[in-house]
Amino acid sequence: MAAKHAKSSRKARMKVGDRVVLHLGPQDIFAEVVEDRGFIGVGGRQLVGIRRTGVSEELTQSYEVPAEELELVK
Amino acid sequence: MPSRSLVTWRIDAARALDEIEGAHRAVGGTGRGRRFATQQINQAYAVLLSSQFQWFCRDLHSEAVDELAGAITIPMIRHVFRTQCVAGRKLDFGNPNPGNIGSDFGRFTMDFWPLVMNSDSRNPRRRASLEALNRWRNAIAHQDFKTVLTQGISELGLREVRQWRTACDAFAHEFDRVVAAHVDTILSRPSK
Repeated sequence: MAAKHAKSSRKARMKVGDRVVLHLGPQDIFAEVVEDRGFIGVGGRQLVGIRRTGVSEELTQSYEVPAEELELVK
Repeated sequence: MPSRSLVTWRIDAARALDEIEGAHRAVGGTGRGRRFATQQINQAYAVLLSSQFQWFCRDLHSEAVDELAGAITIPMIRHVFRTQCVAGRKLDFGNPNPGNIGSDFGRFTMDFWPLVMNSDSRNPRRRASLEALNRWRNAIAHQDFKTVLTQGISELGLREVRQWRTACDAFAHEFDRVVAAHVDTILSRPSK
């Protein structure tokens, strides 16, 4: 859990509102980035909060994943 | 080496809090108007301190989750772990009071507060400061000062907020250390 930089010192790779897909083996999860948590992950990687799309808001909640595990959906 | 969360606390949070200190100094005069203005600044200072400390605690929690999740090689299981670690996390929406902090870090099977309390004899007093800060934070946010009234006085002094800030700063370093040590223990690696 070590780092050398502050949260605002890098350009964000993913931003709020981006549509993304998370590949989990045989399953793909489509989601939207709802929060930029900054570069606080392992090795200074960006973490983002995502919420599944196509699912009622009452049935899903946001959770955090490294941006590098996500693929942008054009 | 400190966590990214602690670095952010030391730099970004300190800068924001110092700006409030600067605003306090910038209010001139000696009359009743100054007293009212500084009271508003002291209250803003307390709310900002609470929110910055909440930010730090939440970041530290996320950082620990990412460290631990990295040890899980199967993507789906890693995903389940991540979602369960932050589902209903109290620091996402609640004050950084001792109960919420202990509850969230307790998810890592650690006796958070006993570890913190036993590491420094000053920590019980710091914990009392953290509780007082969050009582004031709620009183200010809801404009309901019944719970913080002391002898009928509901004014918040700069000295109190500075004491709370000192306590939060000490706790930021303590939390960083005990969480890093616990993550190292879980991952069976020597502490740095």
